[in-house]
Amino acid sequence: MDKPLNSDTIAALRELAREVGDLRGLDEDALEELYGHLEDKTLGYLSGEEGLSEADAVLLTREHFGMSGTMASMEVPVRSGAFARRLAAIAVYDLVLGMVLISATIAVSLTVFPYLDATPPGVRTVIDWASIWRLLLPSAILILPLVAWGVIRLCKRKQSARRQVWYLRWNPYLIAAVLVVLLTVRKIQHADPLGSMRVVLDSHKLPAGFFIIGLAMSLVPVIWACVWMHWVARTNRSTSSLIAGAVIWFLIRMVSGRFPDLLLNLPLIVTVTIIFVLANRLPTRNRGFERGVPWISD
Amino acid sequence: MKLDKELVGASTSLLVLSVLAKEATYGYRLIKAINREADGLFEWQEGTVYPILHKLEKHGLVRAQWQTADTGRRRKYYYITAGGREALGQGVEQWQRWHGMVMKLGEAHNG
Repeated sequence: MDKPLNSDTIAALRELAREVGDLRGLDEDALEELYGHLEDKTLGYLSGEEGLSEADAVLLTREHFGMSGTMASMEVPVRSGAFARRLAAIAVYDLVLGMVLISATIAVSLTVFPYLDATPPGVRTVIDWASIWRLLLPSAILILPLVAWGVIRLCKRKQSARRQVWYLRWNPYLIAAVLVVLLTVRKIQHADPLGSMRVVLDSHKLPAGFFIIGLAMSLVPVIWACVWMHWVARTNRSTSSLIAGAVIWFLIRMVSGRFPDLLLNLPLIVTVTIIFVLANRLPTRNRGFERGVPWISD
Repeated sequence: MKLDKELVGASTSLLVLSVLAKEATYGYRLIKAINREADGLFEWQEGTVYPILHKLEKHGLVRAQWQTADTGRRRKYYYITAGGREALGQGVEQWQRWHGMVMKLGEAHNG
């Protein structure tokens, strides 16, 4: 029991204690006690005081074989407690990115198309609308998923390096407070975003082609939701957890002003929930939802 | 034979106090001691003992003190208090009465 542990092992045990402590809301005293227990347990394994069961041996074999994807699915009991925090993190990222995009779009539109101010409302030409949508559409389709991809990669790298990401470290009340602030700001921002562009939409005068663009725009939230919820569903969660997650996610979106009409978005909620549930079932058979997509699976 | 979980669950505080009455110790060693004494009748999981210790500490039946070993490792030792010894005595007496009644009824049933 007196063999000293090396600094890497101590750091890993400290990190493990911190993870468990964050999930269970332990204070510093209890955290130190937990660390002591983990240290004793590790020393017990090294000294032979702690016996290895066959299940333990299989775990070690898998670890040394390097099947990190398989191991990740075995972390479910440890990580499942972080589901609410991950969901809250998604909401925070979603709100911040959405606000930045809306602000940027409005700012660019007002800068690039100042002449719209001088045109009477309701008589926009096709060229005017095409100019705006040529800017908005690629922005919405490209920027949000790209930033989402970057954020997911960053968080996964942090977790792989056993560094704590902010949403596992922060106090839950602080996360809740940040969400409330963001929701309030977003609500204000959504009060009249098109109005601040001084643009009035007259859909009767738009050609059929713009309805196709509108349809494509409506797919953006679906793609966006899939990317985020894939992250939530990274481990093999229960169906009820995923459905609850999807519903909460959409409720946050609705409250924030993106989708104000529940009935209008009900089919979207159902469809996306089914996708999440199916995606969540895949890892047990197929190593992961993202198999074959190396840019997101690392 | 494994003991029924409810039976073990009803006596957890008593088991902890019994071990601490013999020697002050910390969580990991306490679990080891209890599992060793149980001799296969039951096995306490690692997370079981800490909530019990914290509850006993809150009720003043044990007190905790951090100690540093020669190796530099810090462990939180738990000591039974006078109140804890009194509670242990009462608990053991209750169990003896309970045991006597169960045995009497059991013998009547078998007899």
